[in-house]
Amino acid sequence: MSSVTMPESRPDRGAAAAAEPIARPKVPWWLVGLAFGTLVSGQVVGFLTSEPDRDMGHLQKIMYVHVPAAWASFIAFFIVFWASVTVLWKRNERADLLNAAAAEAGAVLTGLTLVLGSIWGRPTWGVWWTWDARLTSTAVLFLVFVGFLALRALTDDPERRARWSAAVGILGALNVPIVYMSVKWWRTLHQLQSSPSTVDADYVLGLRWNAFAFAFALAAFVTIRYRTALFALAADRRAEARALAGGSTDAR
Amino acid sequence: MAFATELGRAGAILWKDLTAERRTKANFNSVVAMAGLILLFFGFALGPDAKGLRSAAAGVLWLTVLFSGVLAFNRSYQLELDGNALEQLLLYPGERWTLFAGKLAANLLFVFLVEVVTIPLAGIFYHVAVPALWGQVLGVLFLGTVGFVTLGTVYAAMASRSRAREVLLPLLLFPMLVPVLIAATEATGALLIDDPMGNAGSWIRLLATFDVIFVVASFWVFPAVIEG
Amino acid sequence: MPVDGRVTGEWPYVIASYVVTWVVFAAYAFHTWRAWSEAARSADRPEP
Repeated sequence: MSSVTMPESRPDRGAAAAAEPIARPKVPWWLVGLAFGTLVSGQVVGFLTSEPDRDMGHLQKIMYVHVPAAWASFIAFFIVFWASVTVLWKRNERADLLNAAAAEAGAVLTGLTLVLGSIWGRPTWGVWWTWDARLTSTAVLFLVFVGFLALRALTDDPERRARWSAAVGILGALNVPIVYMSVKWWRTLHQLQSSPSTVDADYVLGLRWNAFAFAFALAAFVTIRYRTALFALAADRRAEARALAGGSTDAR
Repeated sequence: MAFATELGRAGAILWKDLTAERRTKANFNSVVAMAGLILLFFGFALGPDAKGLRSAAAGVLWLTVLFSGVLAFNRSYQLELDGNALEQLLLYPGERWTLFAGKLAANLLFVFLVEVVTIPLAGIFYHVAVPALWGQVLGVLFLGTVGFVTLGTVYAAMASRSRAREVLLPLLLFPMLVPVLIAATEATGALLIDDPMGNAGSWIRLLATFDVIFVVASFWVFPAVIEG
Repeated sequence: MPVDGRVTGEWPYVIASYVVTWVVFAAYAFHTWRAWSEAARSADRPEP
């Protein structure tokens, strides 16, 4: 497009907003450090405290990353549900940014859970995949997160995107327990083997430590993604204000 | 009084959609043809063995309903988007849920009509006779279809107005339908062989629960989905 | 495969799971950092 010169006499509405400086998004370094520290130390503790399991041998050590990843993805999923309800109820712009940040982290964590479950399943059951209720509902949860992110990527209007992803978040959240129940009944009906689920007391410390580590990592990722999005929004607003005030358009 | 007026609005939308479909029939004919094609192709993939086909019939029937029915939902909003009819619909006074009720009823009727053609066809291709418990089979068909069409109507309202609507609708919709597919297939499969283990009842209850939850939730979120 | 109930040859799987975990975390951290630095750059852009 050819450049448009604005007449000098144009009333500069929004000039104040245009000139207003925006603070850079702050990185919560203490949280990043905490997450990294607990992750590394948690894995060391896990390896030191766990004797080889009677049935699973050293394979049990996968538990320290697989189970915390699943738990953390559930936290992400509850944030999505809560943020979605807030968006629809209060029409809160910030809740939408939190929604997006949590869904993205949730997609990463459910994806990781699935891959780790698969790596665990191969030597344990001899197959890369079993139609276990937890594994299958995690896969469905992953697909819900992916659909959520795809919808966001393919919708341009931010206000509409907020409402739509909130609707997808709420309906997806309601579905997860139903998926879990239905897969569980379906499996009982077809009499397949059950997965080992009891946790020996020796492994509890390592498991808890790693669960906190993953929760901190989730918090760090979500916080940084949220602040970045908040900042990008402010930068867009400023670009808009500058354009209105008569400066050149500064898109992003 | 007020509620009756709202219902009248929903009825008007239902009537409008059905009239549009009746005048062109373009959508119905192609969806039914697609359903027939899917039934044939599953037959080819599963092999000609009559016993194998019969035991797979329930699953194939439900997949056919889902894969062909999903083609109808975007179309239901596409009609509104051409010529900005949707914006006018939104400008009319009245509650937004009536729009959902009308669209839902029209889509339900549409998918039921597709099933009227598809199910006898599936029975013929897959060597399934009319089951003794046909009443309950119809009940399962009704409940499964209600759950499927309710969510399809909500998600199509978004997908049809986004970029890449063809792929987005199944991507959003199908993960949500896992319980419907499992419960409806299990219930139908059990009822086709006269439900020897007495399992069908709990699957039907699961379907009914799913329907109640998502019909209520859909009526709640739809006004936020459709506006603007 | 299990010999009298006990899994053997499990170390490759254990190592793979930890490698996958750290690779995923590193990749997501990189993605997060890139988005952040892109946003920060636009903050530094002088007013026209």
